[in-house]
Amino acid sequence: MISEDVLERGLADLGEQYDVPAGAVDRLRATLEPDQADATSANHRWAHRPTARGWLAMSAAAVVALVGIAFAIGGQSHPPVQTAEKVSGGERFDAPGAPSSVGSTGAVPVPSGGGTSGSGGGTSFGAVHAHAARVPQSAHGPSFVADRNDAAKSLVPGASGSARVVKTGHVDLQVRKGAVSVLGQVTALADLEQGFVADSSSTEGGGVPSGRATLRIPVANFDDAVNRVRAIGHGPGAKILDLETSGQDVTSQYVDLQARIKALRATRSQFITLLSKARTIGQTLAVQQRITDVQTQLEQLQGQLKVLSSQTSYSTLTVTVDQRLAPVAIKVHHQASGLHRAFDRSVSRFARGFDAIVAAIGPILLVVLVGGALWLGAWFGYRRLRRSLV
Amino acid sequence: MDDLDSWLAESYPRAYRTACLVLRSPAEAEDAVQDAFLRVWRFRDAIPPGDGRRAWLYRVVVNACLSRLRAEKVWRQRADDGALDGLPSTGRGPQQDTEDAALGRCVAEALSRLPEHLRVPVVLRYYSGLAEKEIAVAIQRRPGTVKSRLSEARRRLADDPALVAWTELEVAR
Repeated sequence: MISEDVLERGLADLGEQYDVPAGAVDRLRATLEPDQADATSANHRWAHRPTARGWLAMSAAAVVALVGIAFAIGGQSHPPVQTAEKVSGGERFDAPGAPSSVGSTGAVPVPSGGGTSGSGGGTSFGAVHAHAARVPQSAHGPSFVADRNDAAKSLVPGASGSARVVKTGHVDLQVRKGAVSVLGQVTALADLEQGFVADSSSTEGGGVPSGRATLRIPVANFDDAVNRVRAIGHGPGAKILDLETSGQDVTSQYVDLQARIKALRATRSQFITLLSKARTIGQTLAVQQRITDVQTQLEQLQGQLKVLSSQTSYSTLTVTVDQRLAPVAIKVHHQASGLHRAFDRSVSRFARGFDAIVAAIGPILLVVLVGGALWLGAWFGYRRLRRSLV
Repeated sequence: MDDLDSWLAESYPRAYRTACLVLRSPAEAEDAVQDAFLRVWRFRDAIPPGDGRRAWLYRVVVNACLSRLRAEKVWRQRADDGALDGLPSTGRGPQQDTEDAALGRCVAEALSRLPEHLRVPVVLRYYSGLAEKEIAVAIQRRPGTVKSRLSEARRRLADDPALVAWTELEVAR
């Protein structure tokens, strides 16, 4: 075992070898003197510092507030600015006499789905209704979007400055035969509506023929395009399995991006002015680095603005066309005795109950996690504060 | 006020050297002790009366040192940098100086191998001369914890052959 005397002597010798800095105490006194005047106020400031109970109460209040916010956010399924329309399949629209011409622009009988906000059989997004001047067609493809953004502004009332809405839609069509032909009618819509086909694919032979097309349509013509696809879906031997459209107001994001770009441009100009006044290499390099940073940020924001501008100028409508399978006779064995039905109900209720329990665990877990994190934060904060006080 | 001033002035050298032993950097130690004394001055109303104030002062000093250790990893950076090289002589004769320097170096090397939670109680106990209860106040742990940490530290230091040799030499004398 080591001798405590050796340890004491060793440490004493070691300590003695560290000379106390000359004038350290005087420097300390000099530091303390100006602080004397503040001492009273500092003590007074901390006279009312929260107690441990106070910290706990504040933590509890914060947890309650956070849980309230979490529930408020979680309970809201869609942002308030977003509108949506959804029509699910199951309805047959192959009744004789229903309009089937693709070029029809008149009112078309439309199944009324939940959330439909328009009138006249179309989807409405408030400001987007006008049928303005058409843009001449010249090319198709993604690069076309940027070139035609200015032209699209004439089709979108809000594009020049007020509302900016991103519109998307999805339609599932099922036809008895000629899926590829119907897909051709759908892609022809893009030209009719001054848009273009962004993506298209089809499958023939072997399995069941099917196709998929993504159309980019000027926002002002989006309703028309949806109505035309509806008309195809109402044609003989066709039906709409699913129709979903949505619109999201991104005006605030757009304006925010524009403002940030403007501010960054101003900053860049200031740095360029500063660069001309730099006298040393160090100053020049430092200012150039700042200019590079600002330029990078500026390009990122400009890219985001370009994407947003494209999305709000041209809506996206995705249409899938599937050919119906030939009916296959399925032999169904009915064993619906009373006991069997009761067992089915029991299993079903068990599954529903299990679903409900799993669904409830999520919020509870969130509350526990957030509460635990806040408690830990408050506890460490309290300890740190307490340590900093002494 | 004057009493506090003179007490701080008296306590400064030992507090500074304690900080040096914990931090192993005179510059860092000076800053840490200055911070600590500034806090003591600001919150002087909270200084306990009587003998408790020494433990309270070391509590503030240790906290200041630990804050620097954790923030800047001072100990880790300086563990092998030969901080003891070139330390000034104590003026007690060449032989005594050499012997003291050798013992000090052995202790320093052994201390550098101790983790922070064991090193601080050892310095407070065997250099600053604090009792276990005072160390408990200084490091904000229970006296039982201090006792077990000191015991563990001694056990680890006993594994150091140089320190064991010094102990045997002391016994032989």
